[in-house]
Amino acid sequence: MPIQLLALLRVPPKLTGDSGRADKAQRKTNADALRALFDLVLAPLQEVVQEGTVMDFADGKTRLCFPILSAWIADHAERAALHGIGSKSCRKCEVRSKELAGNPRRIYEARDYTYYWEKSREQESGEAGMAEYFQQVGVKIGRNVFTELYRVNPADLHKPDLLHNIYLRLFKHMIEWVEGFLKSINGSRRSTMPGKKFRLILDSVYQKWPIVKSHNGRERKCATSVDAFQQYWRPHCEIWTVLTIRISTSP
Amino acid sequence: MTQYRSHTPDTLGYVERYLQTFHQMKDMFLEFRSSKSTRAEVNRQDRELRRLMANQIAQEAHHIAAAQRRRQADQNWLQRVNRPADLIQRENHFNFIKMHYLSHFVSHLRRFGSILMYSTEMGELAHKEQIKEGYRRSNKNNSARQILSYYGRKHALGMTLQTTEALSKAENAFVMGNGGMETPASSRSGPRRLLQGRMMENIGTLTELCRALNINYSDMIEEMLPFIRQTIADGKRLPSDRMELGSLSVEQFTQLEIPVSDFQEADVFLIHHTHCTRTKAFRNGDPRNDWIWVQAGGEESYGDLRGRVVARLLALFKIRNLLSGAGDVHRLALVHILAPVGAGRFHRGSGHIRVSKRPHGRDM
Repeated sequence: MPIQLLALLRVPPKLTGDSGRADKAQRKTNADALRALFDLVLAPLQEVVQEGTVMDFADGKTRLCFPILSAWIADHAERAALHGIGSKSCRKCEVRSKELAGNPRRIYEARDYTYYWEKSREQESGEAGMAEYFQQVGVKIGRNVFTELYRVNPADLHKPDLLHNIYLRLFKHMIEWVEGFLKSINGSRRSTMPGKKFRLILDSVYQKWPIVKSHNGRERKCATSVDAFQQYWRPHCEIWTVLTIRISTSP
Repeated sequence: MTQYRSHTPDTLGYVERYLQTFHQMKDMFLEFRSSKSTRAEVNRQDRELRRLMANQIAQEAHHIAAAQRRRQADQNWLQRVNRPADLIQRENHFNFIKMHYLSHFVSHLRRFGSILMYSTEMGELAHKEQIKEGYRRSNKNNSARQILSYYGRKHALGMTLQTTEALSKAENAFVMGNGGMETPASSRSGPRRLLQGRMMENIGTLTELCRALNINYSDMIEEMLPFIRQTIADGKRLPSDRMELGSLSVEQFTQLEIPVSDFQEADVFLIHHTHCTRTKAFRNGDPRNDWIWVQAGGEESYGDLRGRVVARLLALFKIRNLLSGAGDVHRLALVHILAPVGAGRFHRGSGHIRVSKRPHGRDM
């Protein structure tokens, strides 16, 4: 997959913390600068997206193509800044920050960034009640960097991220929880499982289970430790049946 | 399961069901999601409660009977256990955004396909390859422009080289095809199994290897003969004479790299390492002689094992046929095979396939 580096963006100044007003002004300046930069970077794409452009193909033919921005692959924090939403808000739907761990089958209303932009313009023209609405749906900036792009729905630019979402976050969390769980059991079984031996198991697993199908080193490390814990604790904990299913990366 | 390169309705159903079950059972981990402040608060409350209880016991010690004191102690203990649990239940939660994003995975898979191609791994790697490397290659003067042009130029050159190589290969294949020759073996076969970790012991021949492994030489010869007969090409066949075989050059190894085709990806191979250190320590630990699967017959043999048997590695060695002009090398593994019980069928009670030592004959 070819990757073309388009631009190097400067890091905006950090908030001074001197006063709330100064910080607010700085935040607005940063948002405006970011939007102006993206307008500049994406301008060539907008020119061709309406009329199309003729491109050469490997089979020797030329075709009329419409290059449309279809994904923005970045971490949550970066994308939250680009979408102009809060850090505890979903880019795709209007889930409340207190319901993030709720039923996964519940369907929330999809985000409509065009609507936010219209509402933010109404807010600028003096209509009341918009600030509460934005706060409720977790929107910080009404007009984000993707708002005016042709044929682009900013909510669809969201793509799941295995690296940050699974490997570096949930998987890591789960290992911590499982370790905490096992250590709590270890406390109650101290006579049969002394603490030193418990640590020795951790040290030895990396040597004894080197073949773990993995995507990266961190995941392998986690998987091996879970495997070793499982080997030892299976007689004691029926719960492992459940944990194995959840943690394994390939069934 | 989200790592799969392709999905079916069944796998998507699994993803949904696993996520649902995880959400139903995640509360068991709630106490391990405590923040530092919550833990400090729990400890503080526990200390206060203990002090309060100690004072109460000290005041009432002379007025109440021993049985009542025990009941009081039990109640206090229950109170001490329940109070932190209540606080943890109240304070801890799973409300973080990455927990919610899991619920969008399935709908994304249905609309756009595999998640792997959207992972940020490529982008994160680009920081190193494009920006850091680009800056190092620049003259540090107005470096932004040099960084921007560096990777594009490098990529274009790489593409040109690959195209040239592919074109030259295509031309060669065309010439060879006309000449009625076979295509090169390297272009059609996968990665080879490699022996690694040469053992620095005084073993030079098969007889010395047998002595080191504590195996009868005639037993070894009887195991070698079927292998020699199976070798098709006469020129590459090892000698079947006992004396000649014993004089051939042998090297012993500790590791075998086995390429295994990746799940859902026939062209990608993962290297599995098997070790056979015999009595030597493996990484300052115990000796390591791995259990392996051996394809010992056709798909129809050994029942549910489909021709595979379980074996333990005894030795990995390379034997060089010095008597042939070409000096062919054969890479061999001596294994201890276990016999499947019940013709390799699953045991009804346990659901496992059982194996045991061979009841008769040698078990190599």
